[in-house]
Amino acid sequence: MKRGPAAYLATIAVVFAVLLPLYYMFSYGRNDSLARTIEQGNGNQGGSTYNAPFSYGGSYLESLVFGILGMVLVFAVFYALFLVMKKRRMRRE
Amino acid sequence: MHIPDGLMDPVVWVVGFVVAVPILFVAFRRLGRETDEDRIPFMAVLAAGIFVAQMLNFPVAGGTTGHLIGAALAVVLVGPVAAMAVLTVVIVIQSLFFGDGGITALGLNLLNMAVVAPLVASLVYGASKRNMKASIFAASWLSVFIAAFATAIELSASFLISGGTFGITPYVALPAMLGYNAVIGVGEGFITVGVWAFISQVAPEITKARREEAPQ
Repeated sequence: MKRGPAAYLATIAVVFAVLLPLYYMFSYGRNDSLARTIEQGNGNQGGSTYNAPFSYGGSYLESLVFGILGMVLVFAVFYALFLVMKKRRMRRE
Repeated sequence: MHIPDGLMDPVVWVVGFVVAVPILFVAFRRLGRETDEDRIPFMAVLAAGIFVAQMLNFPVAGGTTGHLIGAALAVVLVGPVAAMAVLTVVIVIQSLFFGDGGITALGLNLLNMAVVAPLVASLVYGASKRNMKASIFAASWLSVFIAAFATAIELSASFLISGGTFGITPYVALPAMLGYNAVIGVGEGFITVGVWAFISQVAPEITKARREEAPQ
């Protein structure tokens, strides 16, 4: 990577912020393929067995904040996971 | 395509964990052993990018929406084993932190999107690289279509095992999932080819390095 990861994450966040209004204009509140299939087949959704601490939000600003939060979380977890794996490997060697 | 809690028969979702977890465990171990440390930041950025891309549903026919899975994109940029790891982290965080996909269905969601989709994309992409764009488009479309097929089979199996308490009848699950995702796959194909072409322009070393790698 020529630039640091922070620069790439910032670029992704900007692209996300630009595309998010299109999502709200054309897709928000509409079912995806699985939800549509469940609806058509009268499928049973027994409710969630676990309450997640966050959601994707219900407005542009909320979705932007939670999207960026999730993006940073995914980056950090992936990176941390491989740092731990690397340390374990080095200890073994 | 994230399966929620309460939809699948317990036998089916347990099978999802039993099949997906060992495969992903091997993938992570292999990646941890073999991956050049310099590649990790790019993989982490890719995972972050796929997370936000999956939030941006796009409209398809009949008021239905779909989103990028990103398996083919990950395969063409970092290879199938790393793609499995990338999608695993994305799907686990979606489920644990954002409630996108059920906890009990996590094994099935991992199986469909982090195992089946990257494997299919890798097979198709590896089969022909003469026309890169066509190859990437085909890998993207088929990865979505086969992942949707797997989901439809799981829905049908749940219905049949539970006598209709869980899942969806195969007469609805198969045509609906395959029909919608045949269209969503086209969107996935265009997005994947577009992102690949963009990265080829702005950071050709990334796509060039991957093309020169031996197929994993």
